[in-house]
Amino acid sequence: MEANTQPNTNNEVVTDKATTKLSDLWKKEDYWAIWLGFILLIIGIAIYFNNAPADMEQKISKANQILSAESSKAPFKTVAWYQAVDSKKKLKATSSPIGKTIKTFTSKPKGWSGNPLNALIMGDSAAAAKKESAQVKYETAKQNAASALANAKTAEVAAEAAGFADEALNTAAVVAIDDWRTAHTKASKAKKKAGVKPYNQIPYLIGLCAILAVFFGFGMKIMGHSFKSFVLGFGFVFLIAVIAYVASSNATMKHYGIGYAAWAILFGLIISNTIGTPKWVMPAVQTEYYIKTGLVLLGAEILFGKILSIGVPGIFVAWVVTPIVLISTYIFGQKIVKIPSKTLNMTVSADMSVCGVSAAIATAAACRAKKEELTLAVGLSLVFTSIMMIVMPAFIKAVGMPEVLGGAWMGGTIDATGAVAAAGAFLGDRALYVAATVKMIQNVLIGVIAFGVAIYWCARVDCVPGQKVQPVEIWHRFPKFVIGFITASIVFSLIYQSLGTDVSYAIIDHGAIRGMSKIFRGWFFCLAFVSIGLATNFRELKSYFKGGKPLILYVCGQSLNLMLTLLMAYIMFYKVFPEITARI
Amino acid sequence: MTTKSCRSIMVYMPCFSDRAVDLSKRIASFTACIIAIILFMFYIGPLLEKHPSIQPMVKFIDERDINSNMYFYTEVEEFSEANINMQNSMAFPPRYIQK
Repeated sequence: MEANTQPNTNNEVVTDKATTKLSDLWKKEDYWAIWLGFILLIIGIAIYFNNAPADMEQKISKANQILSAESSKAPFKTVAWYQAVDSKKKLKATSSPIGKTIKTFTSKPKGWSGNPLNALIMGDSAAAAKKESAQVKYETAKQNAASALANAKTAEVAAEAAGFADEALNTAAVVAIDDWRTAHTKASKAKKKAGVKPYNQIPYLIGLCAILAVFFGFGMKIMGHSFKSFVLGFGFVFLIAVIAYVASSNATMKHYGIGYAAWAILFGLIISNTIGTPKWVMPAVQTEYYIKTGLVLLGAEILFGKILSIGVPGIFVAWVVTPIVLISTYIFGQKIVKIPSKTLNMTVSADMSVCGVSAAIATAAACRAKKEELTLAVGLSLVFTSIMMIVMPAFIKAVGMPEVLGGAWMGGTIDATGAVAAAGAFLGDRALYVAATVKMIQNVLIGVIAFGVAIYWCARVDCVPGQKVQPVEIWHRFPKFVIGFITASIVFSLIYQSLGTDVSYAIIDHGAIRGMSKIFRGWFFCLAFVSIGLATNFRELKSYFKGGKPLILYVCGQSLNLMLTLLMAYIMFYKVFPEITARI
Repeated sequence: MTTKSCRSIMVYMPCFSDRAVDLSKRIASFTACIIAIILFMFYIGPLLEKHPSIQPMVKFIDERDINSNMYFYTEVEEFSEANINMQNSMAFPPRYIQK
């Protein structure tokens, strides 16, 4: 136990002294992560609660009246039903002038193919050429959507004329409405692409870098470090983070599901293991500081009310199977594969069973895993996500699996959320809705997993075998930022529930979360992954992969995950709750 | 430039900290890594995605403009779409289910 009670000096793991002092509140990064995270969340709430969409309540009320009338009118979702939902979708606090300003100022590099500079700058002529090309596609998509809408309305009228008693006419109406929704989505996406304007992100990125340098530098100063040294190095770390975002915005990299985390680690690794990380950068290589602050923000995005989004089947698929797979994989890793590092075992298990990179970050921080272990988990997740994103929908289509079952299966097993969206949408809208909802419920599980792992590690792992750890000792050892993480989740969940789902969608989901928390959390995680790369020895990383044990663990755990999730999804959606499946 | 003087400029070199490495070799390694990334991003990656088994997904991601390399549900627009559709499907289901 003594080893774990000593302060860590090599900046590799997250450790606390086994004592608690009042000065910890301003001397320790765990608390600074809480203060900084909550400052951003409070700013987000203050801004977006005062910039709710105009006439929001009336518009929601009107839409709900239509939904209520339409739901009792037909045995399927009518055109008017979907249009009422569409009208609610448009209510976003992030569409307010201040929301747009924040988005512009904090925007990440934009998507590109061919010329990387287009991620940062696009001139008038290039934008005009791109717009002209996109406009043609948009006009075609718009016409298709209008035509599909007319067909859907005709089919619905025909079904209504028969009193919705003719099954063939009802089915024809459902098919026509589905076709219209697909065409409508295509037109919406085409419209977005046709709205391209000239841009220059560089001044905004410089401004953001300066603000974040002061933001984190202030905490560093109070914790006893040099503000000047931190700010100097921060510019370099931020630059690599921008380059990582540029790489992840490449169209081909999107196709493969290779995100900013992988690029940030890779660029950092290349620098540190070839030319070497400059000495003056090291004061800003603060992995834990960035990760913990990002995790406090992530807490606000973990809304417990969302677990009921798809009823009981979703809870069984995401909240019963996932912990079973997590615990089984961890025990398998310890007893059968015999992975020497418990923290590596837990990080890979959570990464594979919960939701990839986000879960790996939260779990690694909660159990104080080494940065190499987190890197390894992220790498494994990346490889398998790319494979599963392409293979699973192809397999589901080949065997003729129903969309709802296929969606639930992919939502519960593919690690990264972006890949779940791509694979789900590829199968169809119903598959997307189920896959995305199951994955979202699984995302919420991160909070519980991180808290449970932190407690387990304090009470059972970080102690001498056979020794009983007192509650006060658990408190001393407990990673305090987890308190901020959980508090943010509980507070935002309570606000979300008290406002109701429709209002919360407008000012929490598309306000404080997507307009503030998500933006900064992404940057903080990217900075953390750059820092990991800049401080990682590639040879040490290789030693963690010795014997391919993490790979064996991942493959075996994922195989169990695939079998259990499919079984549970089938039982829940088709045997126990078929009425919920029919609603989707 | 000796290893010692190199270290005074580029101090943090965990991979090569125990042996003398010439600066030119390190720069060559760095350049090789960057070239490998460029090759993957601009040549190998685009070539592989032309494979018939991958092409349908590639076209679909482009057409729908899906952020398929994001990590959390709040970063992907499709999740917001799915969430609001699912919430309303549960709150206002078609009538024959309500009976």
